[in-house]
Amino acid sequence: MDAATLLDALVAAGMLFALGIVIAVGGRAGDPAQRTIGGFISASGLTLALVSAGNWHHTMAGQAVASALLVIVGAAALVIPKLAGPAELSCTAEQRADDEVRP
Amino acid sequence: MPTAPPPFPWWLWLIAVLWACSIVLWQRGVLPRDWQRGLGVVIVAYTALLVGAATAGMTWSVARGVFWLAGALAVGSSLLFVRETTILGRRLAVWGASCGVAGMLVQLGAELPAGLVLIIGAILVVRMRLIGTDAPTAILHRDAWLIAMTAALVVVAWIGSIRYAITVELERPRPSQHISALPKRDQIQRWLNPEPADDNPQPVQWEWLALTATLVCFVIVTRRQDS
Repeated sequence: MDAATLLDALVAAGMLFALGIVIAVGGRAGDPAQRTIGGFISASGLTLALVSAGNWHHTMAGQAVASALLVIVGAAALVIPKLAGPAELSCTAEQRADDEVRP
Repeated sequence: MPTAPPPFPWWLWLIAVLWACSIVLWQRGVLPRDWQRGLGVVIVAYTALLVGAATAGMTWSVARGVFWLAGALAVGSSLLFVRETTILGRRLAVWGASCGVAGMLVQLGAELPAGLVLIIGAILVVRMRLIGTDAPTAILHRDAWLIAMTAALVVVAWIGSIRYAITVELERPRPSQHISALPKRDQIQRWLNPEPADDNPQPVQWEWLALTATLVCFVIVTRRQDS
């Protein structure tokens, strides 16, 4: 993998990872689905970074390791919101009204 | 070891200062609501211009174009979650993000992880109604503004740090055939057994310091909102 491709892959992976974290953390105002999706997007970015930075796409074993990590992180993203239960700080109608009133 | 000085990302500090000032203005509530939104839009556009400038001068190819088309699909679909979306919108966004990530992985030659991303994305789309709610949900307005700023700054800091890292890699005396961002065995040994400080110490990676400070500010501001 040449330097330009590596740069592209790592930048894209960083964007996805940051976006996933932001969506998952911002999911306090949403529902567990948003946290799950944030975890999935972060896991995708992490996989992209590992595959590109480690040159894991050259071998089948490397791809298998990246896939296993993706499955583990994806399963955690599916399970953790269920363990945490419903969103603690869900965006209720009162909060929305308060947000509209407050400057 | 690199002999040339590392590129100093002056634009990162400019954005950090603008971002910090915007946070102060936003927290104080000095500006009217519409002005606050306008300020956010201006800084987002300004940040996007700087990101474009950071990647200027690089050669383009068909493969790179396809890679970034898939990347735009993935990032654009992910950004939909910052706005208020319905179940259908979230399903489309998850599927778009999955297809985009899979496209990038295929472009890199990693077909197996790409297939898994598609499978997990499909499972999420099918189970969306089971794990979600029917009511449209989204991040609060002021949270969304803050989150967009943080995400943009993280992206810029990421680009700056990666560019610096690749510059260091390219300036090594004997670069390996396959450039890797992972540390080699001799590098790890140098970390474990550091040599005495010489006359030219390694410069501090300001990008990471700025990124850490930004994330700390983000956590503090978010906690102040909660309380």
